Amino acid sequence: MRWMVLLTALASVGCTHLRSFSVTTIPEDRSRPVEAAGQRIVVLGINATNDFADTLVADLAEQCPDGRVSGIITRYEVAMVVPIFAYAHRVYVSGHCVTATGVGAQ
Amino acid sequence: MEHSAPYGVTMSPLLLALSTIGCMKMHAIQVGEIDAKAVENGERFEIKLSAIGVSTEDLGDIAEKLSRSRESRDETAIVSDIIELSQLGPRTGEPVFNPQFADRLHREILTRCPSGRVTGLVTIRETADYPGITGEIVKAVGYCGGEQ
Repeated sequence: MRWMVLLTALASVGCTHLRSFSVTTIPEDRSRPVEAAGQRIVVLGINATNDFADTLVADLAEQCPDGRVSGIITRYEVAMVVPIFAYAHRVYVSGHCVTATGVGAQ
Repeated sequence: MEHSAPYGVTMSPLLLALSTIGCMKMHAIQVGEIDAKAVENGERFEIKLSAIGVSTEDLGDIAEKLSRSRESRDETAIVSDIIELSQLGPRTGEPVFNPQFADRLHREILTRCPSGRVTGLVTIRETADYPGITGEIVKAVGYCGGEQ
């Protein structure tokens, strides 16, 4: 019985769940990729706001001045940090910087 | 210190306080196309559309605890289980009375940004969780690029 509990505990460590995924129109020019991420560790499910994702757009825009960020992939996942006690909520965004001349901003 | 409740149910003041804290659960997030200039110079806006959700599981638990006799507790548990089983299937959050509550989002966005030059639009589906009821929310955050 003790071994089963231990094995179950070990098997559950590191579990990651994909909550949502989306992608926008992918541009022809994909020479300059950009990315950003936001994360929060939620303990015992207590989480007052989801503002950890608020800076993602500004982070991407900063990496692509004078251009547009297109082909944006948004991935939201939840990973177990400490079983039952703490989970990491992560949002990754990546895209491609496109300028009017077709060359990525430097 | 513990307050005694009928039928052996006890709850410490700390647990009682914790149960009243609303927790925000995120279900999905989507980031739209970004125009860096408009993000830098435009005006940021945030729109929240929401509906009240009903947690059939929580309400069943509360009704069970308030039941006066064991027989009535068992009956409440059966009814609660039947209602909960009828809610099976993929979903986000709790059931709402009007599932079209967020359909007016595009109109709200155009009200906040009459030029229509919206960029960096982040759409978030989240739930504010309280005992028994929930706030089912669709949030949109974006930047308005102003007149063309």
